[in-house]
Amino acid sequence: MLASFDAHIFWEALSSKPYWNGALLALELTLVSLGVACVIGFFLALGRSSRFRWVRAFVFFYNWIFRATPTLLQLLFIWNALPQLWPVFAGSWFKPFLAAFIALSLNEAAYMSEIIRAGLLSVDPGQELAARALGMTRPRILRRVIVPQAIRIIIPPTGNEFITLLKLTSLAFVISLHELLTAAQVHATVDFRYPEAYGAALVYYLAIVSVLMAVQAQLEKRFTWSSAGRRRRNPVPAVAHDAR
Amino acid sequence: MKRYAAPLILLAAIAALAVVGTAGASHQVKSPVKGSFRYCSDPTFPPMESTTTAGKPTGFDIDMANAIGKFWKVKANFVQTAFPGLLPALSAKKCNMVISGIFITPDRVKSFPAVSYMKTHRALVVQAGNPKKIKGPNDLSGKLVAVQAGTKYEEYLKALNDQFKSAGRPQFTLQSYPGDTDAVAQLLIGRADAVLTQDTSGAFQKQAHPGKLALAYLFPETDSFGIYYRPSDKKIGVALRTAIKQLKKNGTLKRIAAKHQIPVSDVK
Repeated sequence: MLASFDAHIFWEALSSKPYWNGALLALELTLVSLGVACVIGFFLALGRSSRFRWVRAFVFFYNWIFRATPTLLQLLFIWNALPQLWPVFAGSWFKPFLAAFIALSLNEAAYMSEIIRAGLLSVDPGQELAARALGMTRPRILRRVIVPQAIRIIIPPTGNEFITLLKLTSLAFVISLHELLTAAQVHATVDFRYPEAYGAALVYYLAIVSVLMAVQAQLEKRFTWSSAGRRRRNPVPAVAHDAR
Repeated sequence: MKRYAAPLILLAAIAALAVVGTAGASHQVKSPVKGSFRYCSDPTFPPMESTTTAGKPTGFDIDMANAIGKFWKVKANFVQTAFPGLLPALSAKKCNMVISGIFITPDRVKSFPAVSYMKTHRALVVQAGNPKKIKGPNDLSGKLVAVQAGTKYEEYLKALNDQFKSAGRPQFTLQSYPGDTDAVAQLLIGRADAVLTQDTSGAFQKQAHPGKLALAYLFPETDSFGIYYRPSDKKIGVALRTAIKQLKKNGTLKRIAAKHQIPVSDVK
């Protein structure tokens, strides 16, 4: 039995400003980091199959560095080590959010590059050949032929990455950025009511991830081209008629 | 300094052993625990507690915990815990008591009783030469202040910032870090203008980083460091009070204070 779950304290925590701000901060940081990571990751993925050896070497090196070292170490390095290497990073312009954003997006880009590479590889090479035969340029082939098909493969693991990243933002506590989990910790130390304080944070995380899952489901539907669900909504036009 | 830490600790341990040994002989001491007790501590607050480069806990609180253990004739076991998690760990029975340079405050005492063992002042630590000319809390307006998260310092600074706001003065940027040493590091990196901490910590850091830090201001009020225990553990409370009284009387605490460069007058 829940002998001492104080619903009042729980609601107070749930509706308090630090929680809301913390959740918003975690979400913002996740969104911008993942967004930039997707862009960097896309070019890294392309770089993996570049004709230039040094580009391939760079991508290999990048992925090696950012996947082999802990995210926490990368955060601390950017926040504490950079200012000692270049004093300019000690300035007040270098905000904790900016540092966390740089660390998380660089880190995430390494993972995204592998996910995007898997997506690009999933498209049959014959498609590119066919598109080239039609006289399409390389960027156009990417945009019109390869990416739309690769995206279906990319979306589910990217949802995973979003969730992982959302939870990773709590690491930014070490560089004085106070997101949702920190808000819960601080709230708990005020009146020592842990079930309520942590429970409220739990609700926020669940809410954010639920919304994401709904968005992901929509996106997946949008990029499906052979499923029954999609065909029902867009019936095959009358072309079939003439073919008979 | 660190090079001499190991022999110093050994020396102090021998000294503490001798002192407590005689004290134990003359008093019939009953331990409130069997065999050993565990104390939660966040070793990021030298000279009260920190870790050596080899990762061993050291500091006033560590020596005091061992002295209490010797006094009760039991073993004192160190349980590393982050500062915001100290009292939660106590309530979750991860340890029997909290010995971690933690203040006795009215709202904490509402949940957990405490035994006081030291009275000290809060201090503003700045970079050597005080480049931002900080002479008191009023001068923090518009600056960047670093502090340990979840502490009374942080609470005070937030309130001070609210005062600045209502007075129409520029607020300071407040950065809260997991450890006290992390906050002081921001001064050494050159990011923070001031750090609010205890004079004990400030004096230690100043000595640990010669020519880099300065104490800009000492708050006139004193704070009590206390050992927190669970309200249900009345036996531990009584035994702690006796132990602290005895260790003060026989000079053990003063000796430990001197060893860690803490003013012996703080032990009261």
